[in-house]
Amino acid sequence: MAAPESGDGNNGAARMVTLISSDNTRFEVEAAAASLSQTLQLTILDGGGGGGDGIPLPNVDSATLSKVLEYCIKHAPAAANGGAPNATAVDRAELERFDNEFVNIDQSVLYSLIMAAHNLEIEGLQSLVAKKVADMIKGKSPMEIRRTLGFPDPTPEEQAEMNAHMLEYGWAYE
Amino acid sequence: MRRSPQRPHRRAGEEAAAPELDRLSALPDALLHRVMSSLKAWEVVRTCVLARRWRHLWASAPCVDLRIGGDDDAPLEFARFASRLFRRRDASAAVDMLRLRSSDEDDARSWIRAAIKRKAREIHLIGHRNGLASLEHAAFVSRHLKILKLSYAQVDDNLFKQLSSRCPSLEEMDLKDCLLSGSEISSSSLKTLTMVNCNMFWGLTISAPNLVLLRCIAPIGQAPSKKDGSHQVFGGNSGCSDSKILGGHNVLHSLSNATSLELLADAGEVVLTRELKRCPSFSNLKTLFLGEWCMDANFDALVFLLQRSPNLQRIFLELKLNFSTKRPMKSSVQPKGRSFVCKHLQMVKIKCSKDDVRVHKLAHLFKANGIPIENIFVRRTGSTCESYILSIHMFAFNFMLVFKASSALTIPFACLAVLETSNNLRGKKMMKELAKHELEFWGE
Repeated sequence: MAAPESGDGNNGAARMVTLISSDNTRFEVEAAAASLSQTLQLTILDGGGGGGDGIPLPNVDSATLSKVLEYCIKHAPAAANGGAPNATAVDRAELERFDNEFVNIDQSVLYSLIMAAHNLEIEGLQSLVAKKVADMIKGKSPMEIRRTLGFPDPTPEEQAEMNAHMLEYGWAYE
Repeated sequence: MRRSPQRPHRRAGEEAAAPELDRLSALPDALLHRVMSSLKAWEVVRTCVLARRWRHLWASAPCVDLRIGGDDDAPLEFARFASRLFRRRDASAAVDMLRLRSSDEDDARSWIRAAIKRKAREIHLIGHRNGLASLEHAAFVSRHLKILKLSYAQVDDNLFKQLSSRCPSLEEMDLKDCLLSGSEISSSSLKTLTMVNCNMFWGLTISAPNLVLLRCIAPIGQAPSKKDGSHQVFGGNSGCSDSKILGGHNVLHSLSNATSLELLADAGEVVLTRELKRCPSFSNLKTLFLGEWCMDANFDALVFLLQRSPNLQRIFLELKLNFSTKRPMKSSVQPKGRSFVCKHLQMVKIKCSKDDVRVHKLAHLFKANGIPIENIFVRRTGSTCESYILSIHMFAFNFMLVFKASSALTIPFACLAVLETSNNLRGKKMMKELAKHELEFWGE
């Protein structure tokens, strides 16, 4: 609410841009949503992505891109308000609920997402996924972490190395 | 194509030689460091045993979080752990952010020193509800420090001086539940200053020419009544000399670059009224929020500010809710000396109690100065608390300036917190209708 209806310019019909995934799927989104990506923002400001041409994203496949855009569309209004300490509590709670559900996904999707967010420079999405991964690490023993995160089983040699390190870094446990 | 960037080793078909990397470990350092930024310092160090890939990552992690919580399995000999951590970190890696809770002041100071030595850009310190963190001998001398957030800490003169003159990059300061015993903060780099629930017993002068955002919410101060008993001085220390009144002199003057300004205070407020006389022209000001203190009989203060804000786009007026309507209104506003030119003013929002008749006068004043009735919105309300929370959440702008004077004396802060969830604003259309009704009734 109380969004600056009369804000500085750029209103009217929302401008759309087209993004093309690595597997050649085209996605049409509002420029405001795509601009959550610092990388895309520059291109869009230069007038790119409109009309018939799209912006090719050779590092992002369509499954990941659709997920990324789902995030961007949801977060675009709040971002337009400047991160908004002024957003209503209801809006903030709704975004938080969305975020929690959004990262409740398969690990391999998480890693594709954070990689895409990194390449596209989407700050909020990087933090969100990083936090989710950190939550999977918290409060676990090294072996539990390895299992949770799907590390392959250690070879005997690796196991010995791990044990040696546990000793060396005892100071982080005592 | 899909997975190939993450599985370089397998693609190369040399599984036997290269150790198999899981997908997480295949991410670049920067991303693994990001993950670490959400972990406590000891959890970060412990990741070194996970796999070879992780062995040295901890040593250059950008965030050092030393806050111990209740159910953490933090190292028991914590001080020893922290000092080892700093010693064994990669010396060339900057500490981007240090977070700590001061349980022992000597420790806190030495960790702050260690982080500053490693080019800390951001420091968050939380003291204790029952024992404010004293930073008396902490050395805040840094070219890199950009953001400082303190809660439950005492900020004395010495610290303010260091932050003022020895931290030339300091842009953001966030103080919560702090005791501000220093008398002046003066910084040319400071852009954002937030003070929530701070005790400003001694009075505070802010001199920051580049400040774009000032939020001063629910300040706590000795607020002695003045001799005549009618005025309350916001945060003033003694009432005997106005040189120490909180907000200090030139509060408004130093804010002449502001794009958005919120001046919320009760009637009879003296600091703002006094400062008004020397206020500059707010040529960048687009949004103005004013409280009861501007609503004197002839709206002198309001008109005065409007005359100095030629580029104003939106104004929000919040009238006191328990305003006594028994007193009959005097004649309508005299046009003489009441004129202002705000060519860009597109929105006037007035919030008041159900039966506040001053709204008619206000509407008349704006109308007489060329603001069409369609642009005037009125919201009648009954709840005191609700009105104040609205003042905090109603506006969505990049730069918001909140200067709340003396409101601490009338609104309990807890009330604000509770009402955060019940905040809502009726639709624009509805307000427009209300305004129209009002004006018709008034004798259009």
